[in-house]
Amino acid sequence: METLLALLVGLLVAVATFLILSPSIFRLLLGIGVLGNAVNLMIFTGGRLTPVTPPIIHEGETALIAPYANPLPQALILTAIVIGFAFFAYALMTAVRASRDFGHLDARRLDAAERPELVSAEPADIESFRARKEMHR
Amino acid sequence: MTPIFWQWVLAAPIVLPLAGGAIGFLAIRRVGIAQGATLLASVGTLLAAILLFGEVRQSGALVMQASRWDAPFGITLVADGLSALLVMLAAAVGLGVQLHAMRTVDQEERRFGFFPLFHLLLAGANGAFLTGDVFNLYVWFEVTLIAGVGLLALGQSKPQVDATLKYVAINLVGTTIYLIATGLLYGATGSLNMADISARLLTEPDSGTLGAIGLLFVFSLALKSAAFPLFFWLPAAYHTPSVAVSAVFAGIVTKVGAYALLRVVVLVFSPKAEMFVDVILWVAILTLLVGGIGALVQRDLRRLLSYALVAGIGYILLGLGIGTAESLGGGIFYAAHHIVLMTAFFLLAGHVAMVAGSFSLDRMGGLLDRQAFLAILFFVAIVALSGLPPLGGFWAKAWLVKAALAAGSWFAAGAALLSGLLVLVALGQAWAMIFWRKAPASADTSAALRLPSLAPTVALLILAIAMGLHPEPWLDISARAAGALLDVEGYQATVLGGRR
Repeated sequence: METLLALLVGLLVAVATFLILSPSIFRLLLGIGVLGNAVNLMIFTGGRLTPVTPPIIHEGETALIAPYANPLPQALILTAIVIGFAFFAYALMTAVRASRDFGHLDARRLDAAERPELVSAEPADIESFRARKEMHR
Repeated sequence: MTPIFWQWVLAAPIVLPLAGGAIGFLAIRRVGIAQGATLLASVGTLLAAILLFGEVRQSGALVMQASRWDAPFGITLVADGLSALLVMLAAAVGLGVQLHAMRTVDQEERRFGFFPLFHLLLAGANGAFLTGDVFNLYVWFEVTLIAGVGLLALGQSKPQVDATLKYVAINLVGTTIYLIATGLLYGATGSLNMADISARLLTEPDSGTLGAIGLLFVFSLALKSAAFPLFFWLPAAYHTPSVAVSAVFAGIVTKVGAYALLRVVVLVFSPKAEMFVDVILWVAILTLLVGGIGALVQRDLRRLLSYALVAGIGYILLGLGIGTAESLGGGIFYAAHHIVLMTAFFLLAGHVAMVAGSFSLDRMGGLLDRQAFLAILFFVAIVALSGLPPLGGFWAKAWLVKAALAAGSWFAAGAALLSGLLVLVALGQAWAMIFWRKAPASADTSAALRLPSLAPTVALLILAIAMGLHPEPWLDISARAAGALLDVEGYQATVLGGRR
């Protein structure tokens, strides 16, 4: 079972790498999503897969009685899922904004931060910020 | 066991900014409340951090086991000499940036939660400095990152959207790789507690698995700290947000990655650190050179400073790469000085750009007549950063070069000196363009300097200068921090108690 899951993780990481290397921002974000899931599966596998009882302390007992399933990977994965979800949402929104602002999501042509005429008139105080906004919207 | 009072002091640099940020978010439409709460949190964090630093200096590392789940089962917070030093400086810099931001950040960014996000970022950075658990470190990375990208995008200009997208993408990949390394290390050792892992690795034979896991850590943390060849995202992003954000990124956020690299290589992988030190040495040397060379050709003041910042990361990593106690001390002193100086320098760049009307070196000029005070401050900052005596950069570099020569690493010593020279040339050229030459016709010179908003910058700069003019206590603090970092057995005993 571990071997099977390890192969699956490897496949997912390969898919994610392929997507992340794509010039399309949308594919890149999909790749990051796939990579996150691959990692979650990997942590799950790393915590060892055992066909034993769930880690529950029954009434009248004070400690877990071995053998029991490792409860820690679930906690780790849950944390990673929540964080990954939040970031994925944020990155998608940024991509939506970028596609509205620039009209495309091609990483090769995303250069707004590299163009002096857009960048160097950056806000140093409120007045210049207002002026900049009128300039770029 | 650490007394309960000190446990709270230890948690305060995380809890206070989180609380300030939470209140700020709840009162997000009432900017005054958000500002007041976060200011209080800043002051409280600084006081707690100074207390913590004093106590750690006096009686050694402090430990807090969250919810009394003893290590290695629960989440452990640890303040040793290095953590306490970084937390204290981050708190000082955080207060300085807070005061600066209260005078300069525009209303729209305040309404969208500048102050709460800023404090979430500080909480994340302090959490990363204080945690004793590799998975918890990942969580603090993500806290820092989500607050950071929020701040980065606040102005919503096109360059910011572009920069944010790249910053999010590369840093998400970086932290995911960190998570992969953490998961594999957990699979290999069965533990997440740093002290426990390093103790367990003592009995593990050297193996390809451990080497691969370690290199994944080094890769992801080098990416986080913007080391060669993984630094391109930094100068692509740090010049786009408001000045306060650039400053706190430059001062604190990059040090989180560098600190984590020190901690993971020296502590977690202590029995196997030999495997990575050479790689880190060459990464550091190339970072030094590329940062210096990159700085030479920049036409935007903040991009120039970003490359100088990358070179600075090179010095910190050089301390690790040379791999002796002396070199680590030099690297830590450089990091401490760099936190304060780089923040002040970015804030200063903001003031310069405000009176010059632009961050573009091509459009600046003639400021010496109008702004002699700024010219002096900028000059002093250059001296301190490029490592000319008698200011801070010099002592740190002298220490590092001496350590490099003692370790027989001529190349490292040469790269350290050459990088300092390149940064000096780049910044000297910038100084001449901004202040010395005649103002170009396109320069907009109508804005005046507002002295009250300059005060935090001057205060931070004075702190950086003081670290250089009176270096003995800081040299001692850094040497002790390096000692604490290298004292793996002491760390294990403190965290794990007598149980191993």
